Amino acid sequence: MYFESVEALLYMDGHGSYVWFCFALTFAVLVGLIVQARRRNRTARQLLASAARRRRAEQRSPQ
Amino acid sequence: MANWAWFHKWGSPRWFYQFSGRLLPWLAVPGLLLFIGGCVWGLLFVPPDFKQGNSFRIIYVHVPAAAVAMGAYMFMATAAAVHLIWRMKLAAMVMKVVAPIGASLTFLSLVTGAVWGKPTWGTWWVWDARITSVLILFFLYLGIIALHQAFENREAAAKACAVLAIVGAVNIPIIYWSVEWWYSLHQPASIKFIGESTIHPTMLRPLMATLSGMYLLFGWLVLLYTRAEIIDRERNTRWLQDMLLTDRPADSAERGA
Amino acid sequence: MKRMGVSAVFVAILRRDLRSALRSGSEWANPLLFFAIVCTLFPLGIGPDARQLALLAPGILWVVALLASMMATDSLFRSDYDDGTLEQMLLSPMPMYPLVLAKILAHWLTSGLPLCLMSPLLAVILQMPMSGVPVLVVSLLIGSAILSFIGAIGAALTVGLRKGGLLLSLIVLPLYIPVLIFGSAAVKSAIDGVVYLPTLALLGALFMLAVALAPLAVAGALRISVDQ
Repeated sequence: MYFESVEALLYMDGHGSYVWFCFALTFAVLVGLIVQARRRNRTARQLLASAARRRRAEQRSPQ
Repeated sequence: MANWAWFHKWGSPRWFYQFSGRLLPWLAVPGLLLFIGGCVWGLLFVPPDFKQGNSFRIIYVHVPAAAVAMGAYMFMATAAAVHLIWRMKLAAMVMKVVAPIGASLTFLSLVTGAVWGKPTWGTWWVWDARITSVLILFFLYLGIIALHQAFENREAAAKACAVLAIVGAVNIPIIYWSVEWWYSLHQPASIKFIGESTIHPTMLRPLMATLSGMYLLFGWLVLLYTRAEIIDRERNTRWLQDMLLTDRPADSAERGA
Repeated sequence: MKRMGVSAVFVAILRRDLRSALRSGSEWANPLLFFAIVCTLFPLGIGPDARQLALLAPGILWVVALLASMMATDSLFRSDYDDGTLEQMLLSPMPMYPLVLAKILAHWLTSGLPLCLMSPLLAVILQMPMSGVPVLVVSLLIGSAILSFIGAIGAALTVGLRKGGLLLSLIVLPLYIPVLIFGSAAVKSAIDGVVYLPTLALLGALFMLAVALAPLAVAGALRISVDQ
């Protein structure tokens, strides 16, 4: 561990705000991309489920 | 023709969906470990740079974002060529999903670069050759996304974007070289970027970790988005409905409710 | 109908496009007007100081010429797309390359060339030193041809879309950057009295590359737009 205290780690000789902002933004972007992928996956699955339901209903109705 | 079996397999969304499902953890786990580990290593354990002080630690997120954003464009252009030449549907999906990911990473590298510039050069923005090139890359990504959204027909959108991506890929070396030339013409080397090669090995190792981690995370994200795209496009096919709805009865029951 | 050779078709397309451009007038006059008006806006925006204007003139002239050329590109394939000529061209057994080349050449003759010819006038208005004017014209001659080729790719991609205009600029402007860099740099070198021929040679190299490759991309893009 290079820094001697948590304060020193956060402050980083005055550069703390720049450094921490960059790392926070990076993780925000990555998490945002992952969340967006999950959300798309979920809506696509919902559409698929309703498509399957529709198909089953169509198969049943003619008989 | 037997040599081409793998190629046809890759072109099949069904095979890809099953294969990528098995691949996901192999990208996600090492990717997250390397990237987060590299960040912690770079933030906590590496001594500050002799000249720049602690602000150099931004390199551990800036350089991976920039490198992967650049690589992603070439990856996208390759997928575009595959789609145009062999009409592979899967390549069109990959091309479509890479554009927003690449644009996000390009944006990230621009912002982190600007924030790094403030304590290092005393200004948020410098018209340096590299920064300008990344900005142009950002515009190229946005152009492709805008073109894709403008088409109503999905097939035409994919083909048009493929042409644009290839034209962009042919132009990128010319653009970069011209920007480099422009910069050398106007700016006597007063501001020197800290080149990666001059970095001390103790500082380089965490960078290698975050860089490889970012590549793995990029691969993981591409798979995640492509899988969502496959579900979206193939939702009327029997194989996908059977795979997704019978595998998890709880899932379908929940959706039905 | 008797069969026509490639060169006959090339000439026929060229003549037809030139004639329709001359007849409508707006096709070649509007970019010129745009060029003149926007160049007038610059002194109003940054002040009438002659020295400052002289410093900025090469860049201003090049950027505005580039924008004017891009504006003109939007209509390159529009009428042919609307009346079905484009579909006929794609269905014909002719190779697309010479047909596209004729369209682009006609477009350059009616938009790029007038811009070059008018640029000395605007250079005078913007207080540009006279030593730069010949190089400005030559660099615009080569450069606007490259812009026509690149712009044709964007026009071909967006011709089938209802709102193509703004999208075209998003697609095409990043690809214009090398031309802008070399074009304005050549003019600046000429004004500063340093060698400008290598820079013009680079523009010439870009032109050769555009002639060789751009029509192929345009043909592919047109096929996509028509099939859609």
